[in-house]
Amino acid sequence: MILQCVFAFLAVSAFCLLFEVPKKLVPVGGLMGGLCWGIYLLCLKYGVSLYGANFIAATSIALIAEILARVLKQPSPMFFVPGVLPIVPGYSLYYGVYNFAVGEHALSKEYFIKAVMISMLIALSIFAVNAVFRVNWHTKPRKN
Amino acid sequence: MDYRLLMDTSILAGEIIMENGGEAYRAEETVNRMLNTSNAKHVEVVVMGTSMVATVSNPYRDAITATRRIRRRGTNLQRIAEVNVVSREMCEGRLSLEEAFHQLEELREKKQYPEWVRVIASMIGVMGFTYTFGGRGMDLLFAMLCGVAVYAVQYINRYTGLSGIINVALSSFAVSVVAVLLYHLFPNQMNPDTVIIGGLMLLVPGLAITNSARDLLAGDYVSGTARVMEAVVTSLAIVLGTGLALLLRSLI
Repeated sequence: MILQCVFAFLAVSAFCLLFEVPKKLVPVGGLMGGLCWGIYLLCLKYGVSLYGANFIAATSIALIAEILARVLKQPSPMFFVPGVLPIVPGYSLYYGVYNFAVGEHALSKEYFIKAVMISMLIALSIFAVNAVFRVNWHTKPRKN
Repeated sequence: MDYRLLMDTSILAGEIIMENGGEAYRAEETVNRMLNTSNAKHVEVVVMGTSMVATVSNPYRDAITATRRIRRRGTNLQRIAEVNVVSREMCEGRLSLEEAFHQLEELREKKQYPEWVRVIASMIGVMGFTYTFGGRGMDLLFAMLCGVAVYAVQYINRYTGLSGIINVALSSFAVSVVAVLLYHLFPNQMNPDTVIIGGLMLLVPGLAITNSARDLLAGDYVSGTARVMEAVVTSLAIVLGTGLALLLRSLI
């Protein structure tokens, strides 16, 4: 499992280069990716459902990304986009196509629904975390 | 104050953000902040996913409007970060308008990593994801070949000028075909599924999914739905490319 996280780290670091992340932040992005995959695997290991595991991983990555963005004064996609990469549904999408090609239509539908659900869960986790960070804690209410 | 140059500079900043995978609300905020340094009475910026309009107007003066259509769409997080820096420095008065304009112009074409680094990066990227999705041994080597295949297709498409969607379809077709061919050459030494999944990770619309969520949350429904459609259509292109290759496989 640790080896899997190391490979996720490697892969995401490489993707960071393709996304033109600045040199200093490439290892940070890679770590986010490795962490994301680690959380996902841990959740699955302790009996969380597939969707739950995706949601927990995405939410923790979104949270860390927002904090890092404020600490390092960078736009938050810099950390979030690489971090969430390992759980973007490439796997379900492929098996959806594969099963369609071999004629297993019921199974293919299941995988496609899975892909859509996981995408929506990632979006939902950003919703939740961003909503918290968008609250203006310091200012007084605006007069209309 | 030179209103025209200010308008050109601001809309260029917004354009760079939208071209390189930034969110619409980020572009709107940046352009708005930059235009507001003119203390004009009315400043309006509207970003609608694939196009943007900005207007500055004062009483007793002609209004200035600029419109841009966003044609290129890529992912370049460094440019977004640097546009942020330039716009902040300009708004705080540490950077003159002319300098800001020149910096943005340079920034627009700036690339950090040479071509060979990107080739190796796509090889390692595909290899790493092949491992995390269960590929072992020879799979990793073949995955690297798939990474090169994707990069080659994207490199050629830079010159053919095909649209982004066709580019994705062709790339996913290339990944799948290379994996399937390798499987036929070395039948018992690899699992083509994990290799193809690793290759597809290069193409899945992760950025579109995250950005659509952010834009929708910011109340920007036009840009948000545009991004959702981008994610859907990109996925369909992947399905098309991979599906064709897998059908060929079942025919052989």
